Amino acid sequence: MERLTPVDRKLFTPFSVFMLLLAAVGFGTLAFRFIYGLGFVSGINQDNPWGIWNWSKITEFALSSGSFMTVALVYIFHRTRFKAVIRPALLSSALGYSFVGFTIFFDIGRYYNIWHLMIPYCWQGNSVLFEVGWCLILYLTVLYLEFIPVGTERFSGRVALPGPLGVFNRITDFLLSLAGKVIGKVMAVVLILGIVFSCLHQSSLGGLMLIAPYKVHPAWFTPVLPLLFLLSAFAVGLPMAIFISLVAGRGLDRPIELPVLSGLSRYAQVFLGLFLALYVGNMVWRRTYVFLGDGTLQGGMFLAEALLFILPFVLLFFSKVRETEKGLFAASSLVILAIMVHRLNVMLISYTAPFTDGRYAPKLTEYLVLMGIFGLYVFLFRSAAVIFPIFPEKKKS
Amino acid sequence: MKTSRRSFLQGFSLSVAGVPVSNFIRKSKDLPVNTDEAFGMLYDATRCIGCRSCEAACNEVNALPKPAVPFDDESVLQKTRKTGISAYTVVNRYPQPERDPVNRKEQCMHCNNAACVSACLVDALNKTPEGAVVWDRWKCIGCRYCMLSCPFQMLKFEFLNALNPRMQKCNFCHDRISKGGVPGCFEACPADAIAFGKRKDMLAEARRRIKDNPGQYIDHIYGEKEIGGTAKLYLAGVPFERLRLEKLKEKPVPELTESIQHGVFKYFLPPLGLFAVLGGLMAFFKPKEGG
Repeated sequence: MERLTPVDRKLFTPFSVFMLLLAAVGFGTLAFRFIYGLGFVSGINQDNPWGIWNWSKITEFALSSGSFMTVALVYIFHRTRFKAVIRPALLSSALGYSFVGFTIFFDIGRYYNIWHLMIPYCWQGNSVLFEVGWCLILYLTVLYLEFIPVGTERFSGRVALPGPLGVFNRITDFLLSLAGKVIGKVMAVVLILGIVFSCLHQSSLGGLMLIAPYKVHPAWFTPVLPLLFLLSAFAVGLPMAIFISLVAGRGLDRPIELPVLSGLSRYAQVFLGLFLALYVGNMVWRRTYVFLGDGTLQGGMFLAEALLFILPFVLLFFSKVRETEKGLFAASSLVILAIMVHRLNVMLISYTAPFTDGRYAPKLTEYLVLMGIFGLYVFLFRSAAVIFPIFPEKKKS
Repeated sequence: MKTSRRSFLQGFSLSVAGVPVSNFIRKSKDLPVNTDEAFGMLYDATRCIGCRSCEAACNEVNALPKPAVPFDDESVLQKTRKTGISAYTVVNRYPQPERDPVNRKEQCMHCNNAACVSACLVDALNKTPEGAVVWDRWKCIGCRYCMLSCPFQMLKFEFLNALNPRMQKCNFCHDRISKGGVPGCFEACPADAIAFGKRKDMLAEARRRIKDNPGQYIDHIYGEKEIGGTAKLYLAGVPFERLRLEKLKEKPVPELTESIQHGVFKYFLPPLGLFAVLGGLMAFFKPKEGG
């Protein structure tokens, strides 16, 4: 495999500054949440306590499955030819989970109490959300630990803190090398823990809505919802890695080799097939196919979700899709879109409060905040690729 | 390969260690409050006159802001209202086909096996020995998962309070009843439509009324068995669905999610088993190169 090196670009370019601008707009909007309350910037209400910010957390969990899937493929099953996608996937997941944490922070009403989850006095282990929260904390730690070798590789022996902080250069360097050595010894355990934590919380996320059997539409309410969430997280992990490699790789002029991505897509199709087997099986068992396109909002969204899962699975049978950049981009985008629609359906579309006056509709300010998070995500991803050795060097043709 | 064989053994031995740790998850929620000895409240829809004295008393007892329209104004009964952050209980008047309208008071049901108690990840909602489900404002993080879980949609959140948003709902006058007192609404009702006492006594009274007044009541006590039973019980002379009390099964709401959670974390075996399996796979697939 080629050497991994930082991308030779400036941190601040018109593109990256534009991303920061989006972030500024989003965060500026968020300031109003802290001054006037959640109800001021968001359309959630007494009947609909969760909105698109909650949707974005649940979806981002799924879309950040790229890291543990690629880790499983490369380090458990030793398919080492996929090594080049490990770090881009790790970066996207580490950022993704960090932003989930941040979104939780501003979405909860009493954010100053967020640390309560960590003290035994407040532990309530029967709650599905308890497990989700704890696995988030633990997995985020794992992701940061997995990132230490990237930091050590870049800065070990070369620590140069700006200006007066320079006195701390030697101690920082020492700590960095020490961290690198320690992590190196326990890396196998860390990686396996990461996969275990991921499996635990990806499935619990599916269990979240099972606390409201009378309020969730039967098209989605099923005891196997946790398993569906788990398998769909498996299914989107590799497409996410492909997508990131294509988009970021192209954008930063560090493309991942096409044969590697084509190989990944074969595995992606297998996991997608596994998910579809359970998905269709559940549909038949619970007889929910009667809802597909039944003329209601839920029926229409259910049909859209099913089609979005089936289409890329079928497309990936064609070599023109698996072996071209355009084909891979289309297929992976479809799987990602399918996940986004599926999570939207389970969290918001399926949910109806008893005797409700009306459905939830997001406010513009909610969209602005999500857009801001997206902007910051892209800026940080790009900056990390510029600072750290994430992408392989371009092959000299 | 040393590291992954080590991790296999670690996983296996940790599974054994997981036993005492996993007991932690099965704590007080599995020890049911003695719900028959706990308090209950019986509301008789055939007696309610819709005077809203209960609403006024509740407002007074909980020091809630006074509403724009005073409590003796019965014109509000022309529209169905919901409870809110400043109204823990409301009485609604439900028109009936071919008979007089029937009133029904609504408030938190203080379920025996409450969904909100199970849902709250920071233990901010608890069923007390007195039977009241109370909210702890120190613990609460405002995630609103409890609101999502409540089948009656009774938990209300102060969405426009930026600094100290609280979950608001009927607290069964817990401060009063835990010290030998009675709930404000019960005290205020002039029509004897509300009865208060031990839940088992409320059930006995309800059965007596049904038996002694054939034809006057629907032969069902709403809340006796619904979703595992609730502290608040209802008697009515019309089908309960006509009073916006949905048909609910007897199975408690948290049963499904709790069985999944307990299954997944039984002695921590599944996650640690997975850890061991992955370690084993890692060792199996590693190319043999003397290490």
